[in-house]
Amino acid sequence: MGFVLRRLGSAVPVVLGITLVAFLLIHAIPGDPASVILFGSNASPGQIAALRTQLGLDRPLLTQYVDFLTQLLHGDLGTSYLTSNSVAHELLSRAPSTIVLAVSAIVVAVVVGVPLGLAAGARPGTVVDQVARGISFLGVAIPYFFLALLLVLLLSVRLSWLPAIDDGTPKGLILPAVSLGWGYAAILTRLVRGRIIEEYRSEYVRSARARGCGEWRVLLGHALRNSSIPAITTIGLQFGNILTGAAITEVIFGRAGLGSFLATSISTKNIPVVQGAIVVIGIGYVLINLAVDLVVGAVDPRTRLAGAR
Amino acid sequence: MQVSPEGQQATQVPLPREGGGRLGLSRRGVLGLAATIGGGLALSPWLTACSSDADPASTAPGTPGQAGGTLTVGIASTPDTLDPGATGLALTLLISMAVFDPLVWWLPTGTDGAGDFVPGLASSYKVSDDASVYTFTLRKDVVFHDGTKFDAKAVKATYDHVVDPATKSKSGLGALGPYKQTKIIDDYTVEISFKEPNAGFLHQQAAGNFGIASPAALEKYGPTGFGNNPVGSGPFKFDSYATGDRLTLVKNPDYVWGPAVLGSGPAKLDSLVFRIVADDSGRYNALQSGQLQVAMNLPPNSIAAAQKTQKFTQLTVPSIGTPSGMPINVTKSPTNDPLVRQAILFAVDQDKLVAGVQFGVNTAAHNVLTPITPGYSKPASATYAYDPVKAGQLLDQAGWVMGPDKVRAKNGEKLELKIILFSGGGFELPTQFVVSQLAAVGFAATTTVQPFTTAQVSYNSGEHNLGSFGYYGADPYLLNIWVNSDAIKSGFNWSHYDNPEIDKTIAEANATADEAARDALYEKVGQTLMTDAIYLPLWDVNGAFTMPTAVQGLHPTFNGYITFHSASTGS
Amino acid sequence: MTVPLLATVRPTAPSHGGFARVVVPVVTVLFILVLLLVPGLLSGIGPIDTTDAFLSPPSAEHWFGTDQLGRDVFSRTVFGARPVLAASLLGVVVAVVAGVALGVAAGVAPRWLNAVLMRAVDVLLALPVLLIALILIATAGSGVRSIVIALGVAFTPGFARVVEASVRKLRSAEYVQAAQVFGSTTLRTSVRHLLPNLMTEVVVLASSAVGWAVLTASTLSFLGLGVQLPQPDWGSDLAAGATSLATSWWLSTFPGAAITLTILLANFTGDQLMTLLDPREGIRLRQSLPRFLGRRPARGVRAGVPETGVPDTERKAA
Repeated sequence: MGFVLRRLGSAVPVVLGITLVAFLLIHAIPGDPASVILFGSNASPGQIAALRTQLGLDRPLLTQYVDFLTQLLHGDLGTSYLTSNSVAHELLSRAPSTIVLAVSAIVVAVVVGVPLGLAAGARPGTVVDQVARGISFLGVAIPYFFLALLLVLLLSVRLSWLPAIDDGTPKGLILPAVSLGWGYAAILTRLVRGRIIEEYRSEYVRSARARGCGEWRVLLGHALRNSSIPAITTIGLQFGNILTGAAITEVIFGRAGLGSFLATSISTKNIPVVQGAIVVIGIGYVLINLAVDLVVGAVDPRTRLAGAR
Repeated sequence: MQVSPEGQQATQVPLPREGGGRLGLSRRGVLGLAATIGGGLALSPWLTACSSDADPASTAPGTPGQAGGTLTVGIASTPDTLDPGATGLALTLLISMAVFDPLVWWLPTGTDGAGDFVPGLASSYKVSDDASVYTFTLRKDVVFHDGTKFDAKAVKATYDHVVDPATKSKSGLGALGPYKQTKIIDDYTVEISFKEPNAGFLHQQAAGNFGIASPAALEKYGPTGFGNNPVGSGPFKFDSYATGDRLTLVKNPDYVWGPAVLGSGPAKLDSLVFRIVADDSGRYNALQSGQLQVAMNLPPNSIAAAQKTQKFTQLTVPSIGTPSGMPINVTKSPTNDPLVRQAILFAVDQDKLVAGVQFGVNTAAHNVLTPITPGYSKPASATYAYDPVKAGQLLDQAGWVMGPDKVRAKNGEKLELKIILFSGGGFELPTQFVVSQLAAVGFAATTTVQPFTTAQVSYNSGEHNLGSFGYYGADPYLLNIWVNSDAIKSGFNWSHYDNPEIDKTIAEANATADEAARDALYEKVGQTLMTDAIYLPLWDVNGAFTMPTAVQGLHPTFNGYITFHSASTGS
Repeated sequence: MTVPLLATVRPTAPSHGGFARVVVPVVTVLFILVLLLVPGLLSGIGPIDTTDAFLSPPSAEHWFGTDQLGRDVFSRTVFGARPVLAASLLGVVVAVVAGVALGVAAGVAPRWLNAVLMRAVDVLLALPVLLIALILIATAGSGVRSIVIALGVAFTPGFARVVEASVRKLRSAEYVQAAQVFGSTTLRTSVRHLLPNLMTEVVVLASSAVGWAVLTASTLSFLGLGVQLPQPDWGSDLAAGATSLATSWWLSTFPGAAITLTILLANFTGDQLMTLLDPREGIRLRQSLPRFLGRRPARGVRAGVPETGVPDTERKAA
C-alpha cells in the first residue's frame, strides 16, 4: 500500500510536467488559429483579431497556461476549434477504435508469439527452431506499415478473403491487428524461447526430471510463470509504441481513430485538441506504468517485498 | 463535351424573373481547399460529365434503375460540421445537398451543359433592378424531415442562423456577403435583401451553403448543436454519424418536390452512407473489394488502373474555379522580375505533366480560371504555349547567364527558387516535375512541404517564390479572393499581387448585371493576370468519382460534386 | 513513452557459423558507411534525374525500374538510405550523449535535484513520439534534423535512467567502501572502475537501439516527415508508391525491402556486439534492461538469482 501511495505521489509532478510540455509544444507552432478558423469566410483583420481575443489567445502565455490547468482540474479539456464539440467528446469518440486495435495487436502477439517460442525453445537447434527464429527475426525487421500494405494487396484485393477497410466487424480487425502485432509476436517468441532454454537447464526442471515428474509440466509451469513477468513488462512498456503503431496502421485501413485526427489537429493548430490529447495520453501512460508495476508486484511477491524495504 | 463558357444564357426558365444576372460566388473553406485539391481529375478522353446524353453515369431521369439498397461513398476527409450554413469545408456540401434543398437550383443541365436555374423550394423568384432585393414565392407542399411544415419562417430562420455569431459560420457567412435581412411578406412569400447590390446571390444560394433548415430543429438543437443533428427537406434524412468514420442517411419517402432534372420523386436508394477513408490506397482497395460503391478523388494512377480493368465508370465533374497551380510571389527575388515569371510559364509543359505523371486523367490548365467558369478567356490560355527556348531567351534578356553547373547566375547570385507546398494537396509529384522542367532552362529550386497552418504563415509573409493553390467556386468573382490586394497580409493572395486597377475591375464586374458585359470584364482581368504571370496553372480542378459500372443516376453540379436524387446501385 | 524495442533476449543457444557472426556485422558496418558517405559508388545514375520512361518495370537498364517521373528506382533506393541512416544513427548518438549527461548529472546530484531531474525524465518518457514529431515538423520543418530531435526525445530517457542508476550505485558503493576502509577511495579511482562497465552497458543498449531507431525513422518519413523533395528517401518513396502497389510494385517494394534488410542487419550486429561485450550470461543486461525500458526500480527478473550487490538506492530517493 505504501508502495502504491509513493508511486502515485511521484506521479503528480510528472503529470504537471506533461501539461506544461503539452501547452508549450502546441503554442510553439507558428500560425494563428483564429485566422485558420475564419479562413474562407473573408473575414476582415478586425474580425480575426476579435476572435483571437474571444479565444483568449492574446493574453500572456502564463495566464493561458494557468487557465488551462484550472480547466483541467475541473475535468474540462476544452472545446475543439474546428467543430465546437468538446475535446473530450472528440477524443472519446475516436479513442476506442485505436485502443481496440492496439489490444488486438497484443492478442495477436501473445497468441502467435508464445506458442512459437514454446515450440522453438522445446527443440532448440532443430528445423522448427530455425524456422521460428527466422520468422521472428524477420518479424521484428519488417516495418508494420509495409507489411500492412502487402497483406491488404494479397489477402484483400487479390484474394478477397478479408475486407480492405474497417467494416465494423471483427473480420475487419484481422489484417490491421496482424500487421501491427506481428513484430511484437516476434519479440515474444525470442523471449519465451530464451526462457524455455534456460529453464530447461535450471534446477527446477532437472530435479523434476530426477524425481520422475513430467518434465514438460514443470517446464511449462515454471517457464511460463517466470517469463510472464518480462513479457508483461515488455508489452506494458511497449504499449505506447503499440498505440502509435495503431494510430498509423488505422489510417491505412480506414479506421476512424486518433491517428489522422491528431495529425489534422496539429496541422490546423487546434490548440485545445492537441493539448488535451497529449495530457490524456501522458496520464494514460503514467497509469499504465503504475498498473504494470502493480501486476508485476502481484505476480512476483519478491518485488513487492523488495519495494517495502 | 465541356460546358461552353459562353453558354450561360439561362434558357428555358420556368420561373419569371426580372433583371438579375448570374453573378455569384461560393467561398470554400481552406480546409476544403486542401482536401479537394488533391486528386483533381479532368475529363478523360472517352468519358464526359456535364452533358446528360454523353455521360453513362448521369442517366436521364426516368431510366429505370434498380430500386432500394445502400450506396456507400468513400470520401477523403472528415466534415467539420453537418450544418451547411456553418461549415468551412467544401466536402460537407456534397453531403448537405442530399439532406437539404436550396430555394433555387443552378445546374449544368441546359444544352451543352449550360447553366439552368431550376425551382427548388421556391416556385418562382423576382430580383430587384439593382440586384439587392430578392423575393421568393415558396412551394406549399414541402415538409421537413421532422414533420415541420415549410414556410417563410423557415427561410428566415435559415438565413438568420448563418449570420448569427453563435453559429460561427465560416464559408456561409462569407458567401452571404452584405446581407441585410430576411423579411416575411406572408406565409409563402419571403424577401431577402442586401445592403449593397449582390447580383451573385442566386449562384451563392444554389451552391449548397444555404440549404433550408427546419426552424424547429434549429430551435431545438441550438446554433452549434444543429451541426450534429441536421434536419432539412431533402431526398435523404440524417440517420447517424460515427465521428470520423461513417455518416448514414436514409431515404425520405415523402420527397416529391425535387427538380425533375435530378429525379423529382423520392430517392431510389434506401440509404446513402458516406464512409470516411482518408488514405488514398485504402479508398481504392475498398472500392476493389466492394466495400465502397463510389470512391471520391482517387489519385490519378488508381483511376488509370481502374479504367484499365473496365469494371469501373469514371465520372469527372469539372468545377468553376481557379485551376490547381502555383502562385508566383511577385515581391521576392528572382520572381519579382516579370521576365523571370514569364520564363517560368514558358518553361513548363502542362500537357506533358498531365499526360505522363497524371496518366491523362486530368486536363492541363493554362489560365487562372477553369474553362467552364463564366468569364473564362480563351485567348488568355494561349499566352504561354510550351516554349523552353523562349524561356531561355527571356532569362538571357533579364541578365541571368547560364553557368557551368547548368544553373543561371547574375551578379554572383544563382537563379534559385524557393518552393513551399502545403501537405495533402497532391502537389508533391507534379512539383517535382515542374522542378525538372525549370532545371532544364537553368533554374535551381528547393522544395519544402509544410502542414497547412505553417504554410499559410509562410505564404502570407512571402517566404516563397512558388506556392500551391487551387480553388473551387461558383462564380468568377472568386478571383477577388486571391487577387485582391487586401488579401495579401492575411488571405489567399499568395502571389502578393498588388494591383488596385484590377481590384476595381473585379468589383465593377461583380456589380454588372448584364452577363455579356460582365464576362468581358472578367476576360480582361484574366488576360492581365496571365500577362503579369502571377500564377502558374497546372491542371483543372475537378471532382472525381470512380464507381462500378452498375451504379447509375448520379448528376453533376457546377462545383465538382454530384447529387444522389436518382442514384441507384443496380446490383 | 516511446521506448526503444531492444532485442530483449540474447541468443542463448550456441550459434554455429562463427565466421558469419563476425563477417556479417563487419560487412554491415562497411555497407552503411558506403551508403552514407559515397552512395555514388553504387549507382551511376542520378536519383533525381527524370527521364521519359515513366513507370517502367525492372529491366537491364533500370534494375529496380523507374518511378512516376522516370527516375531510376535502384538509384533512389541507394541514395535514399542516407536520410534514414543518418537520422537513426544521429538520433541514437544524440540520445546517448544527452542521456549520459542527464544520467550522470542526476546521479551525482543531491537528492532533491535528482528527484527533479528524474521526474523530468519521466515526463519525457510519457510523451508520445508521434505527436512530438508532428509538432516538430509543424514548427521546425521536415527533414533529418526534426527526426533526429524526435528520436532523441524518445530514446534519451532510457539512457538517462540506466546511467543514473549506475552512477548512484557507484556512489553508494563508494560510501560503503569508505566506511569499510580507513583511507578514502578517491572518486577518480572509483570512476575509473565504473566507467568501463557503464560504457559497456551504454554501448550494448545503443547498438540494440539502432534497429529500433531505423524503424522509427522510416515510419516518420513514411508519414511524410522526412521529405525533402525531390531527394529520395526510403519512407517517403514507399508511401508514394503505396497506391500503385498492385500495378507498379517495384516503387514500394524495394525501399520496403531495404528498410527490412537494414533493420535485420542492425539487429544482428547488435546481437553480436552484445554477446561480445557481455560474456556473462546477460545478468548485467537483465538488471539494467527494465530500468532502461522505464520500470522502477530494477529487479532481478531471472528466477532463482537473488539480487546481489544492488542496494535499493532508487527506492530511497523515490
